Amino acid sequence: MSIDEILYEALLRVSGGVLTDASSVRYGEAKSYLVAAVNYVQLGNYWLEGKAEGEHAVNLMMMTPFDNVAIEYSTTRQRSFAILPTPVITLPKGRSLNITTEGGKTLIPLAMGDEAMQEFYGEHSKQIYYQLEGNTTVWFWGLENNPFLAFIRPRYIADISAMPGTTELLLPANGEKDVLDLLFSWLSGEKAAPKNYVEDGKDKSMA
Amino acid sequence: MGAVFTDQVIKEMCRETGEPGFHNYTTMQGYMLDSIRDLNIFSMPTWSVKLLPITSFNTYDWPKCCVKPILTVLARGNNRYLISVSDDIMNVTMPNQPAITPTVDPICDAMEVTGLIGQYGWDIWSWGLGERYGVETMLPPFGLVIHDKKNRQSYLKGFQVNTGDQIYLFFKDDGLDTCPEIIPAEVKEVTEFFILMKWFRVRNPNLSAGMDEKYKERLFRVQRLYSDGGEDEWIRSMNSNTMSAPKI
Repeated sequence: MSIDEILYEALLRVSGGVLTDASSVRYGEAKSYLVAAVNYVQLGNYWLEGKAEGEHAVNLMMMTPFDNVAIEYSTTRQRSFAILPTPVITLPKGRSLNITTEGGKTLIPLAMGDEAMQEFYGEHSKQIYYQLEGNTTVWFWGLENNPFLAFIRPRYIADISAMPGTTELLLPANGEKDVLDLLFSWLSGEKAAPKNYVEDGKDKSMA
Repeated sequence: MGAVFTDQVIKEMCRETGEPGFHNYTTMQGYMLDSIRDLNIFSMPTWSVKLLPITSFNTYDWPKCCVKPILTVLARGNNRYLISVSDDIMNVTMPNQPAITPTVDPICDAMEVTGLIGQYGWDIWSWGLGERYGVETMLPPFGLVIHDKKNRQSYLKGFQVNTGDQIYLFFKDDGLDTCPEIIPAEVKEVTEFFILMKWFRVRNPNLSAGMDEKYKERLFRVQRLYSDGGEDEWIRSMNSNTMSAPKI
């Protein structure tokens, strides 16, 4: 389902199956809720994935690919960087983001503190490393080993707030129903937005 | 002997410890270096090639990570000449002039080993000991190199060093200067158990202890495989004038 489709369905359900003037008035409100609902469902699904093995895997089908993202150079920091086309959803260690070159070579993420270790380990490795800063900027280490690299190909769970209404939502199999239910309950005032998210994947405010 | 890329092992370990996106790559790289360091305290060989300058005393200094030089190759322009290793027993095997022209054959005359050279080629420099060094070739050797383990230098002799000459040194590496790109295939298991031992050290101490046990078991097997007496053992063997070589 696309963003507009799911918003339409939710507003239709809230107004009892009939579109009224109030529906269009509440479109903006519904869209704000949608961002929260989608991110929430994606995040919950991410944590449940492969939990038994202690594996921190991200569902590849939830990742949107972006081709030919240009690598730029910052003269003040003397380091190469790239700006992601849309914000990336926030997951621990930036696990929602995966970057390769157009040729398919995987770039290695630097977790917190790793960039300091690069001073020692960088010369031992021919890999290209990146670190996410905020949710749109990516800084690179080790590009001097690949001086002709001009573009990257990021794949990530995109934050839908910056996306047009025709964008297809990349949700897990039962995610559309969950998003619709959340939207309906929030729009109809039945339920407060989930809070105090805990890492066991169980939300106390959800039924 | 097979070889495995260190990068491959690091990535496999990342996936095995639950990070298929390689978010602990840097940590694993540190563990890999620790593992190589630990194995080198025992006996794991790694190899490297480095381009070195020749000093004005016709010597080159060993890189700081060099444990044992293996092949010395002279780089002159676009040409590469393999330098034979002197066993330092008969120090007069080469006259101080280039011996590329096969018509002169000064060595044949001096050593009266024409028959042996005809039979085995020019790679026999310790012909009395039944051992063969260098590359098997019918070309006469270009020059000699004498390795000085104590000063960590090698002396070139037997040919004129020209301006711009450099040395490609292929050597046994302790793997500590730079993380080697490859490690021998037979130490992969040991490396993996060491890395897992380090990884679970704070996350699951009991599991870490189990990995440590497995590491020691495997290490014992690798030690058996690599029981090499080192340079002193080789020299003793050569001086002993027997046919047997130390086990490598």
